[in-house]
Amino acid sequence: MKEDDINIKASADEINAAIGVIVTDDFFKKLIAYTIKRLLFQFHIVYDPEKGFKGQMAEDIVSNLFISFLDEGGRNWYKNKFPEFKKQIYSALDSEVSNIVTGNYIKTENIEVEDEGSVLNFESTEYNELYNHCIAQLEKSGADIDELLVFECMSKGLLRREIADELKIPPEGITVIRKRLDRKINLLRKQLESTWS
Amino acid sequence: MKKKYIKNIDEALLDSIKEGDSTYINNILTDEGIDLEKMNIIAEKNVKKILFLAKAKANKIHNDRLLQVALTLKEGIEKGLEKPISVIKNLIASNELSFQFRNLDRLGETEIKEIIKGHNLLNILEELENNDEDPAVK
Repeated sequence: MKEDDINIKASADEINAAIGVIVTDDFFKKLIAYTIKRLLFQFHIVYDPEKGFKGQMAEDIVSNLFISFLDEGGRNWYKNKFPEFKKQIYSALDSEVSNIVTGNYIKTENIEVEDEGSVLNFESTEYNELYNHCIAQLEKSGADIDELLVFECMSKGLLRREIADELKIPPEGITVIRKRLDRKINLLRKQLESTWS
Repeated sequence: MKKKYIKNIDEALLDSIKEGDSTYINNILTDEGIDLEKMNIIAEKNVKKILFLAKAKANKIHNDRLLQVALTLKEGIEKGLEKPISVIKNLIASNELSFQFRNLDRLGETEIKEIIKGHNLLNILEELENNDEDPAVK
């Protein structure tokens, strides 16, 4: 393990060992799905399963990402910021996707997903209108009360464990509810982007 | 406000992917028009490649370290330093190779690598760390 002023970098041995543990066919496919959705959500790019985007297939992006951790002078694993290697991989993937989209091929480390700079004001009229609109749309799609409660937490920016704490439901239960919600939210999201002003 | 609202939903959906099981991931890929059979083959092929490269890198690191320790020991033996000589003697004894390697002065890089392989190289390096301060015992 090497230390500089701020970061604690994992050794090559540690990176090799971590790759040996986490890289499986299922995890690889998970990163493909994540790449495709990141392109869509952050950059509004619809991935072409035949041509990829900008001449790159998602599988090559993911594969090259792992290889860049193995290369001398390649990507680093900052253990102080990401004690789990998986989290480092997702962060690196975010920055890789961003670099490809923006045409910036100079390696950037640990890019933060762009923040819109505004904080949701849950008391505002605008928030309540948005919230009521979404709830009405989800009800129309057949969402039950559990799904509506989970959606409310998601829209406030809570992640799975936080939602579980908030609703006093085990995290596994939240996963089951989110699976039911997923397609309904995808539809709602598209509709929100195109119609809501 | 709407952008932030949608961003929260997006991050929650991406979080679902991170937490999702294989059925959930397969559904997403299918929804995105990915041929799952082809994707399974692509994933398998790429995972094999990544794991192969990781193993090759691990072997390279090990071999580089083996060479580094061997050269440090060789240099120390040639200079007649106490620490490297006692380390190599102990290793030879523990390997039960004392008959084969009786004459330390004649040990080459290859022989030293043969003696130290299978031992904890980092421990040996640590042991050798202060060998510059050792008095010569020729």
